[in-house]
Amino acid sequence: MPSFVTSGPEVTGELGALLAPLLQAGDVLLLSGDLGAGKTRFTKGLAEGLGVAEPITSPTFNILLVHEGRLPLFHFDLYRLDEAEQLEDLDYFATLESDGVAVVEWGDRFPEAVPADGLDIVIRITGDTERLIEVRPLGPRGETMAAEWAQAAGALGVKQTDS
Amino acid sequence: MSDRHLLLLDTATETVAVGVAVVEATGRVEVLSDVSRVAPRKANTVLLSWVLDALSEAGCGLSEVDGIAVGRGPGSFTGVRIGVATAKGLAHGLGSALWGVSTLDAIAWSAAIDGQEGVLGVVGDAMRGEVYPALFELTGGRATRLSADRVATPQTVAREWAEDAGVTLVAGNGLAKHAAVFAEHLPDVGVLPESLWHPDATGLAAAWIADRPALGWGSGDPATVLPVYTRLSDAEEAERERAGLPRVPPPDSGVAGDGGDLALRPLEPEDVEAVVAIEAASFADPWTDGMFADDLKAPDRAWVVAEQGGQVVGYAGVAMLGDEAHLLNLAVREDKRRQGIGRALFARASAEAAAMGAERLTLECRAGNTAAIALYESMGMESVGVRPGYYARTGEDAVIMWGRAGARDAAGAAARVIAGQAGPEVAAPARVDPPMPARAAMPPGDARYLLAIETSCDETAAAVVTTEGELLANVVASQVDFHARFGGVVPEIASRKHTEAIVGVVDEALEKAGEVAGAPGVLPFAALDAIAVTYGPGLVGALVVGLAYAKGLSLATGVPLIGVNHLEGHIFANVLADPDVKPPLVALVVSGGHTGLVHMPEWGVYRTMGETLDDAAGEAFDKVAKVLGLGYPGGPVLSRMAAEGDPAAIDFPRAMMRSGDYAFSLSGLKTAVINHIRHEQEAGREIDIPDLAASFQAAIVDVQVAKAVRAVRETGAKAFCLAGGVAANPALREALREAIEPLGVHVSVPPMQLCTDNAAMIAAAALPRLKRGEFLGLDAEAVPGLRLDNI
Repeated sequence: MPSFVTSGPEVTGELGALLAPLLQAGDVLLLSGDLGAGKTRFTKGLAEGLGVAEPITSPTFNILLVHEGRLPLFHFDLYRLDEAEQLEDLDYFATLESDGVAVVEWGDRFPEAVPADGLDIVIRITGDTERLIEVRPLGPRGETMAAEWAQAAGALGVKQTDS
Repeated sequence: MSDRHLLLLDTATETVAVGVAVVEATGRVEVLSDVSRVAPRKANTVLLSWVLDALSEAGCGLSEVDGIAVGRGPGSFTGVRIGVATAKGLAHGLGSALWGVSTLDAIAWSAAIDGQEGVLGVVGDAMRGEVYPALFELTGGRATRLSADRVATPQTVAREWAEDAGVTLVAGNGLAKHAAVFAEHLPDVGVLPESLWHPDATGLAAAWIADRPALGWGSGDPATVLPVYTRLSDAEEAERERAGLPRVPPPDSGVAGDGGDLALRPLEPEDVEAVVAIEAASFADPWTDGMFADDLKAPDRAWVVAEQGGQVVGYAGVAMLGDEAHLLNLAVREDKRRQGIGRALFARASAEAAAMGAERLTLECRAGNTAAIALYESMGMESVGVRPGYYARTGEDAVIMWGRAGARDAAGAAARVIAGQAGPEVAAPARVDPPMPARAAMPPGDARYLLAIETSCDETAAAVVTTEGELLANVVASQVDFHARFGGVVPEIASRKHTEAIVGVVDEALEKAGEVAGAPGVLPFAALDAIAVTYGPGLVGALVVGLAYAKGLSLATGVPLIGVNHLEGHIFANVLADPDVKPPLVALVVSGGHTGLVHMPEWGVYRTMGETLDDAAGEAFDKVAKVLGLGYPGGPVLSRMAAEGDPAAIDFPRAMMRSGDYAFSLSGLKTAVINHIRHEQEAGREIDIPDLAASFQAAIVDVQVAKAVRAVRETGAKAFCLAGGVAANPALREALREAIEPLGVHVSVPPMQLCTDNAAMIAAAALPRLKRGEFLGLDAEAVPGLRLDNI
C-alpha cells in the first residue's frame, strides 16, 4: 500500500495530476481527510490532468459537480448527506458505473456504500502544509492504479513511505 | 360510451418506451402504436417528441388522451424520475388519470405476449453489482407475478432460483452485466432475446390492465404516483412510523406506494402463524395452526398468500374434489381489505384450481357477508342455494356459489385481447377523473400569469406572478400540508424527493394565486402565458424532475416553456423586491454553492467577472462553524457570534485581495482558521469563538467588498445587488452598503425570505425572457453546470 508525503498544496495537486492519465471510465477514487486537508486541491490537480478547463470548486453544497475532460469527471461530496439511502436519491451508483471518473470526497462516510473496486485515498494533516497521503486499493483495478501511480510519483521524486 | 386512449411511458431502463393503446368499454385493450427504442441517457430529450410520434401514429390527438400509465421502476433512479415527472406534468396539464405500472411486470407481460411459456426470472439492473429480481409464471399469453420487488446480488438470486424456483427463462437488463452468473447457476435456463429485456408499449398496456382487478381503477391522481424505491423502503417505513403515519396507503390510491408491490405466492409453513392470526380475526369458526399444517401436506391442494411489504396480508386455498374444486378459505387482513387483494387472491385460487384440472369451482360464504358475495359474483360465481345453519358457532346460513374455475381471470383475458383475441373480461369505467382541485374560472380582468418551478437542489418550489411582475404565490414544499392530500405518503425522507411533491406544490401555488387574482379555486392553466423552470446549475437528479414535469405540463397545456438559470434567479430576487434594480448593474452572488461577481449591462445579458476558485462563501462559513463545534450548516450561527467579537482580533489572510482580478479563493482562509485553532489548542489556550468568528467574517467581507467596489467602478454600473443565501449575512449587507452607496450607486439587498431557494425569483427572472420571446424547447436537458454567461 503506497503512501505519499507532500510538502504543500502544490505537491498534493501534482499527485492528482500524475494519477489522471492512468484513469479509465468507471474508476472511482474515494477521498477523505479533515477539513482543509486538501481534498479539493488534490481534485484540482486531477482535473487539470484530465484536461478539465473550468475551475474545480468545492461540491459540498451541490453534492455533485460534473466537469468535461478527457473523461467526464463526477466530483461528489457526501459531507451533507445524513443517510446512505440519500445516495439512491442522487443516483450515486449509476453515476459511478457510467462513462466517467468519479472522485468522492467523504466517500467513506457510509461504509455500506463503499464500491467494490477503486482507490481509497486518505489525506492526513501532519503539519501546516505537510500532508501524508495514504492509498488503499479496494479491488484489483485499485491495485493496478496504485502500482502505476506509485511508479509515476517515484519518477517525479515524490516522497513515498511504505505502511 | 366511447373508447378511451391510454398513453404508455417507461424510462426506467435504457429503453425509452412510448406507445398509445385504446381501451374499449369492455376492457379490451389494443395497442395502436409503439415507438419504444433504446436511447441511453436520452430520456429527457426524446421523451416528449416520441410521445407526439406515438400519438400521431395512433391517430390520436393529445387532447384525446384519457389516461396515462407510466413505468414506476424499479430501475435507474434518474430514469424513473424523468418518466414519472414527465407523466405527472402531462396528466396534470391534461386533467387525465395517471397510473403507475411495474417496469418488471411490463417486461414479463411483453415476454408472455411474445408467446414465451414457463417460469420467467426478470432481473433489472440495480447498479453496484446488484439486481432487481422478480419471478413470473408465463402461461397462455399471461404473466402472473410470483415474488415481490426487492434488491439482491445476482449470485444470491441465481442460487435461490437454481434451488427451487423452477426458473426456465430469464430476461432483463441486469443480464447485460450478470449473464455469466445466471449461466453458471442455471445452465439449462433459456435466455430471452435482448429485444425482450426492456419494457415496451404492449407490455406496459398488458401490465396496466392486469393490475386493475387487484388494484382497481383507483383515483388516477397524478400526485400519488410514486417511483418504486426498493432500496429505500425500509427507511421510508421507519420514517413513517417515526412521524406517526399509517403504514397503509389510502384505499383509493391503488397506484400509489405499497399497492404496487402486492405479490401472490404459494403459502409456506412459516406463513402459518400470520395466516392463523388473520383467520382468527376473520371467522367465528377459525381453522387452527394444526389444521393449516395438516392441510398443507394434503394432496390436490393449492394455497396462496398475498404478500405486501414483506408481510402476509391475505391467503386463499382450494382443494380438488373429483373434477371440481372447492374454495377452502379466503381472507384478507382487516386493514388491507377493499384494496382488491381478495379479488386477486380469488382469481389466483381459481386459476390454480383450473391448473389442477378443475372445470368448476364451488364455495360457501356467510349469508351476511354481502361484500364477499358481491365480489364473488363480480368474478363470475353464481349463488345456487343456501345451506341453513352451516356455521356451527353462530348458526348462520351459508350461501353456496358455483362458477367456472379460472374463467374470470380478468388479467389473463386482457392479455389475450392484447395478443389479438377478443374477449370482454374487464369492465372499464367510462373515464377515471382524478380528484384534482377544482379549477377556477378565468380570473376577472385581462391580467396574464406566469407559473415558475424550481427544483435545483433541496427545495421543491413553485410561484405565480402576473406578467407585470406582481407576486401572487410563492410556495415551497416544506410549507405545504401534504398530509391532507397524500394521507402521509410524501415527503418525510429528504426534501430532494421532488417527484412526490411537485404536483401538490404547483396546485398549492395555483390555488393561492387564484385567491389573490379574485378567482377562488386553482388558477386555470389557460390563464398562463408561460411556465418557467430552473434547468441549471444544480444537482442533476433534482433538476430533471422540475424540468421533466414542466415540459410535460407545457406540452399538455400548450403554454410555452421558459428556462431560467438558478443564479439569474437569485439576482432577480432583488428585482422582485426593489423596482430600482435595473441594468446596468453588478451583482455579487454569494451562496452555499457559488461566489462570484456578475455584470449585467442590460436585461438578460450576463458576464461573470470572476468567481471562487475553490470554496463558496456560504460553504466556508458552514465549514468553519463545523470546526468550531457549532453544527452544520452553522453559517448563520457563526455570523451571529461574530457580532459579539472583535473583527481585528486575529489577522486572517485576505486571499486575492490585490490580485487585480475578480477571482475569489476561500480555501486558504479556511485552512488558516483550522491551523489557528490547532495552534491555540496545542498551546493550551482557549479559543475565543466570537473573536475568531468576527475575524474570519471580516476577512471574507473585506475581500468581497473590495472586489465589488472595483467591479462597480470599472463597469460604471448604476445599481448593485447582493444575491444568494449569504445575502442574509448582516455584516456583509452593511459593509457593501457603506462602501458602494457613497459612489452614487443604488444598492439592493434581497428580503430575507427571498435569499434562500424559491420559485418567486425564477418567475421574476423569466419575465424579461417572456418579453423577449426566449423559450425552451421540449427537448431541453438539465444542465448541472449551467453558466450564466452569454457574452
